[in-house]
Amino acid sequence: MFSQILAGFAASCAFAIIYRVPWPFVPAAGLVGAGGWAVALAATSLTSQEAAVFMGALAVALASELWARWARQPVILFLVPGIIPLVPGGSAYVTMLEFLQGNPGDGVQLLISTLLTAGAISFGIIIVSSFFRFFYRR
Amino acid sequence: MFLVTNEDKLTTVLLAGELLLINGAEIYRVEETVERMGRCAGFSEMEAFATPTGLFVSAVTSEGRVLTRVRRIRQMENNLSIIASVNQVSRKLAADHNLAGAAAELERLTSPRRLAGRVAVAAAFFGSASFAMMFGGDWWEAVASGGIGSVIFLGQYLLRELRMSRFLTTVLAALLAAVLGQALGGLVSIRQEIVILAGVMVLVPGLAMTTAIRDMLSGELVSGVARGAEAMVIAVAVAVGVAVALGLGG
Repeated sequence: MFSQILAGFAASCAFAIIYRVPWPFVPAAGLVGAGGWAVALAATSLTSQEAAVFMGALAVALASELWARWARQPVILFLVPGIIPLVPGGSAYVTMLEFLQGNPGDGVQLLISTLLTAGAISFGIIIVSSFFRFFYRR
Repeated sequence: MFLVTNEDKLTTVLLAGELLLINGAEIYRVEETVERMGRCAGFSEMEAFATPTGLFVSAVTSEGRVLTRVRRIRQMENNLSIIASVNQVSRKLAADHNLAGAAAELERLTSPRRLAGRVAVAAAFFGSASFAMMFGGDWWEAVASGGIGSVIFLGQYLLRELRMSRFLTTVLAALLAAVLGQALGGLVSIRQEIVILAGVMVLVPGLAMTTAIRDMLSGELVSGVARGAEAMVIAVAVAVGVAVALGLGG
């Protein structure tokens, strides 16, 4: 569990560097990503994968919005690297393999799950950001 | 540099919007920044219309003259530090109304310092290696994934220097990742699906995906759909590259 969260932190930091987040905010982006990944992992044992990713995305978006307001920086500095660990790369890959190996039936089933997971990420971000935009209107 | 004419002022404001768009800022940020900076520059009315591929700005001067500029956006970069810097410049302008200072700062941002190649490759290594851990790989698989991630990241960068399209560079990079993964999987005992998958994660269109969501959220349907499609195209390119290599390799 601990090594998983550490890996989430490292992945988010690495992507923060690739996307050229200013150096002082790279650790913050890493923490946001690790937090979201930890929430998603904890929720996986309780509920479906899509719902767990949704909760992870909620946590990432919440942490990004709060940190961005506190540091007076654009939200995407934290949100873009933070969301990276939740991206359904694994299920997208297996989906493609199923299609390649001539199992379109299983492929479509996995494709739906992949798209739902991507949708869950979007939905998590949308809910939190709408909330913030409603209460912090300029 | 003294910004006396309204044309010069508008050029500066336009540059701020262009820098934001090139580096993938959300549409509302681009339009708000342009409009706020325009009013700070002394225009009585300011209207901006931004899409991922173009920026249209119209300003009414204090004498009632109308100035309009269009800027076509062709480049695409992933440099969030520029967005942070333009944000800083815009805040500073609102506080001190020093447009000449803002123009000088923005000019400096047009030729950003490149991320040192070593740093980028190291970041790609750690990115892919940590994904291997997250997919349940062991240390050796993490190292192999990191190697693949940094090689294809470098390869993609070099191909883009040749002005190859983003779709093609992504297909080739994913193909290379799958070939390397298969070769390594044949040589030593590592699970090739983990190293290929973790390797191609450096190609994930994270920025396009996130800004697409945020654009949709603020009602920017045109650019939300456009950026969402961009993210989809990149994801398909990754799948095509890996699929071709796996199909050939058996």
